[in-house]
Amino acid sequence: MNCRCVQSRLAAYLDRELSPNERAAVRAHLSECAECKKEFDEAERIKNAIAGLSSIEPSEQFERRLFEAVHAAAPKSTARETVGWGLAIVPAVAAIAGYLLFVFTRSPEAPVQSVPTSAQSDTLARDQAFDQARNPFSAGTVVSFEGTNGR
Amino acid sequence: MRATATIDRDRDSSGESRVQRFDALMRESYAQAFHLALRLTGRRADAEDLVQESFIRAYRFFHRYDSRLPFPNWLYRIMTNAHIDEMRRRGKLKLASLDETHPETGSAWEIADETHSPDKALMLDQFEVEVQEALLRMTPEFRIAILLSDMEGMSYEEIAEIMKTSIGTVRSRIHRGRKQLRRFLLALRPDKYKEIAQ
Repeated sequence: MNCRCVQSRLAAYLDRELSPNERAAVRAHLSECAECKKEFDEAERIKNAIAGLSSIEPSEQFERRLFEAVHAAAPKSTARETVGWGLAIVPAVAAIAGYLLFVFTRSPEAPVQSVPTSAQSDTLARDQAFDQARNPFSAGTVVSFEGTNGR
Repeated sequence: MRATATIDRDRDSSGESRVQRFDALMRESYAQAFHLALRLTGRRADAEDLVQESFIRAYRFFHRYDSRLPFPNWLYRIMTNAHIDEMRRRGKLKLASLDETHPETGSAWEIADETHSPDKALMLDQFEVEVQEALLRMTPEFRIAILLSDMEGMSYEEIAEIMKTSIGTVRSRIHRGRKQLRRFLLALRPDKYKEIAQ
């Protein structure tokens, strides 16, 4: 293993993230190469400096403020409620659509048509997209649908 | 309908409600979350805001939490995204490339900003102030990877999961981040940090 390979693996070596074989190869190289050993020592000092940063406690009032803020903010809306209502509405919408379709398309000459599933699947797709847009790991995303905004 | 009532209906076998479970997890983890938030932001007020925002998001989406996984990991994923969102909102994040060096300066450092300097009164000594300053000059992705690894002791796999990236990217961010941190300290106080760079 040459110096370039070793230096690109120093962080992982330091953090014990290499396979046993790679680890052995890096260790062998470090025992012979002063330049790479110097790089390793520097990285280790920086890691220790970060690890040694003092732990600072939040203020005593913070816990109370945090709990109050979280409980106060939650009732505005929850994805659970949104999804719950969304899922409850889907069969209702599908049933109404089916009934209307039945009424308007039925004639003595024509057979009764089956209910199309597109309305239901569209609603589900929109619910899923809305749900994704409310992902807790994102600040929010503009919801868009193919074919409706030119994308 | 209040969300608390909705959540309260879901009780586990022990009769504990989701609200109670969330409160217990929050009580267990908020101090450590604050510690990470403080090092991410460098300021007490910003850290408290970040922790609060993160728990609010976590609370709203608690039904998605997989209790087989460590709660702090899930929370940190929310928190680190909230931190990046906040940095982006402040216009401090270069959107062009998160992992490449800056096209003009050739570095991954953020531009110094007096409004974002660390709370010096909070830090133990001058060394902490300077390390914190160095952390704040880095892009959030580098800062997050280094803090999760070196301060929280997380594996690259956990960090990759939290940051939604590959283990190779995590390895690269930590490797380059440590080198940049060392260079910053050396440039700041050549005599003092000579031993770190020698």
